[in-house]
Amino acid sequence: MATSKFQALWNHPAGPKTIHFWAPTFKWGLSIANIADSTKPPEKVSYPQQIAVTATGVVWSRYSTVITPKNWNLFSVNVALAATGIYQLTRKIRHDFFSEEQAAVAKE
Amino acid sequence: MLPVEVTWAALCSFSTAPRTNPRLFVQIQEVKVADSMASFKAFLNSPVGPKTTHFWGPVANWGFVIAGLVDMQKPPEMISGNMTGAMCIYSGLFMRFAWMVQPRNYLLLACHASNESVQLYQLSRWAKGQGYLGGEKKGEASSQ
Repeated sequence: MATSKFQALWNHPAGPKTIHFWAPTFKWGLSIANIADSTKPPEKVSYPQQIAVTATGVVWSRYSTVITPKNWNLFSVNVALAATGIYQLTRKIRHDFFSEEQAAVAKE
Repeated sequence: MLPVEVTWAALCSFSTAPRTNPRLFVQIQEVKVADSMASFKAFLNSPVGPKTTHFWGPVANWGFVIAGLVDMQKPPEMISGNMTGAMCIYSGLFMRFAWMVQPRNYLLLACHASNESVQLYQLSRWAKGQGYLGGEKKGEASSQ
């Protein structure tokens, strides 16, 4: 019984033998890369890239609930992507706009 | 004469009459506009058109391409090796995905092909800056 269930998953048209599985699964790699970069100094964070990451995450989160069938795997990966993008953006914005006074004082 | 015949006559006499006969010229232009409107309308209503999610998802992904192009102007120290490397694998996988998905999504394919090129270029800039491709770290510029 367990074997046939595993085989059913293994041979699924969107299963691990197909691109329909690995492409969305690998999208986690983008979130993981972003988490790994969360320790980097904010000066190295790129506004255009993080805005693109956040926008992609938000748009795809919405659409993964609109398509048939609803794809919760795709939903979760894009929610995570949007979350890491927003985190990086807030780090950089905080650094650029809210610590200017401290930097100006330090330079004097 | 029926409008169709007039239009056909206008098309057939394209090389001889239209500039001397303003009504025929206008009809030819209308036919051209009507044709392009028809194909535009076909696109609007297609299964991968702007009324569907199959369109706007890929549009969002073009943001990666634009971000990559903008970041090409920045010094290599600003590039994130993690993110750029992940993007290269991600776009490679999604080119295959766009090809295999039903309906086949050429917009997504074009987006990820462009992103793959941009990210590979950024990755090479990053690697050279780190000294992986034989370039000096912050040293002299490598030859093309």
